[in-house]
Amino acid sequence: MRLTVLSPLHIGDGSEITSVDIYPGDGMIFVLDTGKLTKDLLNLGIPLEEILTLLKNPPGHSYVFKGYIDSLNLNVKDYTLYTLPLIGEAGRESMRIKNFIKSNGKPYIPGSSIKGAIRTAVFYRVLKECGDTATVMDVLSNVARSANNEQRKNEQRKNIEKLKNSVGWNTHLVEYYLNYINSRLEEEKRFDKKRADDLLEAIVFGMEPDKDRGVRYEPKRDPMRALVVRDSEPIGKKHLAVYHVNIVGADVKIPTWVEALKPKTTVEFELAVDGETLRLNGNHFNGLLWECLKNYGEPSEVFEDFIWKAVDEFYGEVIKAELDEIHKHGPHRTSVSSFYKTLPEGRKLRLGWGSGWIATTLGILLRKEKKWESTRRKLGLGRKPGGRGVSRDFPKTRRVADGMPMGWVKIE
Amino acid sequence: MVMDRKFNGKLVITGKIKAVTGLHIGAQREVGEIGGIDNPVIKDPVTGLPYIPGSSLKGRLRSLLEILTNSKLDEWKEKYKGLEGYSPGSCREEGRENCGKFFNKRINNGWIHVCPDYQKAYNCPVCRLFGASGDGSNFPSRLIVRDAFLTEEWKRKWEEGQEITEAKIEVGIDRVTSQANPRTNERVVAGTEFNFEIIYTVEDINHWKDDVKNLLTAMALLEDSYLGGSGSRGYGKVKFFFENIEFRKADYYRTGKEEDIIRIDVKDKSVREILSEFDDLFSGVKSALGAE
Repeated sequence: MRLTVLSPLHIGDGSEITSVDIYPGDGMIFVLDTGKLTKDLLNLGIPLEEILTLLKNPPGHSYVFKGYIDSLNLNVKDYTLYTLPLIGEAGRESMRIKNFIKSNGKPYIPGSSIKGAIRTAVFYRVLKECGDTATVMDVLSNVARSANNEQRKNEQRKNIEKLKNSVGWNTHLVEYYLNYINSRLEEEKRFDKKRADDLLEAIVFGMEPDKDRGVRYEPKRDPMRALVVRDSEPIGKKHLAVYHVNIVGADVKIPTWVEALKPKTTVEFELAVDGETLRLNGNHFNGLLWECLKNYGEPSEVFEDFIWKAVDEFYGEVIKAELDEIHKHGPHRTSVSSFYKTLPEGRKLRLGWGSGWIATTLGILLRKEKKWESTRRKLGLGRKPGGRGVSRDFPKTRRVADGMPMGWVKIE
Repeated sequence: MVMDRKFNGKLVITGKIKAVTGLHIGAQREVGEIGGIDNPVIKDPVTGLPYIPGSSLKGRLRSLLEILTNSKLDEWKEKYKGLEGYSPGSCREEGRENCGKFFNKRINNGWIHVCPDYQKAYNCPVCRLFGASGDGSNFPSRLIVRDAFLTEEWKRKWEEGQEITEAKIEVGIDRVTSQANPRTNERVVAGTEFNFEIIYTVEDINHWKDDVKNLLTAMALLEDSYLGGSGSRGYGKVKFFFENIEFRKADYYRTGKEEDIIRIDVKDKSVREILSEFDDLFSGVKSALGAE
């Protein structure tokens, strides 16, 4: 398949380039060979202690090596590993640039990022179409019936029955889930917000009996394992640029720069549905997704079509939601609105850093529920910095690079 | 059936296996390894360099041929009589081994295919190639898959300071809060090449052609599947580059003479090309063995 970048796309590798590694030029960042530069500075009689002291306690600004290059009239190009175009302004006193993920020095798009974005869309569509509690209760009953550990069978069944009954008090799985999160937040002081979706993921994608929560996620029972998405081929470095990202709506301005793929970059990647895995494990998959597929025909045959419809529907809703809240893009609302209104036809995904809460979660469904607002506050989503309470408006911030919302790609 | 094993020579297949995308064949992290990476890749304890264990490569090839056989079960029953007693599918649902379904043996939480005795295995495309440790009698594997170590070129790159493995940080995003759960996987970097050697022992002159074709088919399937972990999200695409296939006649092991080796020119050919030109490429082997 071919992926075309539509707006700046940053997928990080967890590392950053700091001010000492760079020389900010005019519309360009020079990434320095600091080893070579230090060697030459020592040869020019600069004491090592002085360099180390400046690195530890930079004066005024943190571009320590820029100071030397300028004051000694050195040619920055002699000490440049590579350059990156800079879109937006450089930091006046310092800047940290989040690196794009690379393999052998060349950027690529990990299969995990693409697959993660598809998975969110599938999660959304399954809940939307098959999240009625009657269907969910049937799914849980089947799991209870197939509990095959003789010794623990009764206990397992009891736990799943308990979960099933709790679900049954609601009309929809999303409604149940917000109640579930609320009760857990009340029970546990240290509710892990990084794992708030665990039970929901288990019910939707595939599960095994579990003594604590009734069921837990089991990857072997997840039909999504049949969707194989490869890492993309390497991408030329010329497609990267450093973007100054505006975080609109934040109470505290945190200047942020990222290495990102420029719009119009295209790259090939492989995506395949392993039909044999789906057929062979047909009786083993037990989540709501598999049950939902049965509404459309033989699950293994309709799986791929279901996924693509989910992608189209979910990201269509994300675009709609962003346009509905276009005012949250502040001074960039005109350019962002025009970006969304002129998006090319075809299949789109939102990937990587800066995608925002709406595109990376089930937020579109969650916030339709009455209980969402109180749950959101209890979860601390939209917490103001410095412990000044929780914002009334969530999600409040948007990340904009070069006047565009980040991370949109087209796949074909 | 009486066990009547014979030796008619060996086919030695050598070449390179390239990790086209990052490769993760996991190892247990050593206890007390302070600062060690989570989810490390398996490494040679002597050199500390990553390698592909023969068991991983052989296991994956077997698994892919098993799945193909299960899909072709009805079609192949006439040719491979050992398949007659099976119906497609897995005994997992019944939770009982040898239930009549093709995937009939439990290995931890998974189910694989293993013929229960020598006679069935002799007539099964999977077990006669990869071996079977059945409940009754065993069928020794006709295939040896060696550990695949880094090529000289990649060893040199490593000596010159190039990273052979990378720590890939991934984040699982919670779909309610959007909070990130970072995880780190060590992977062999994309592009790395390993030398592979696969040896097929010709025990039955009526089976070699089918067996070798099945082996090549499994290799072709592997190129379109993945090796190691996290394959459905990008890792483990591999490609085979053949250097040599030679048939060493049984006499070679007594005489050591060059004339008892038949070399098959497969250089620069892909698995698919070798499969499609099989009869021409292996005509010398066929003549030497005097049978299919």
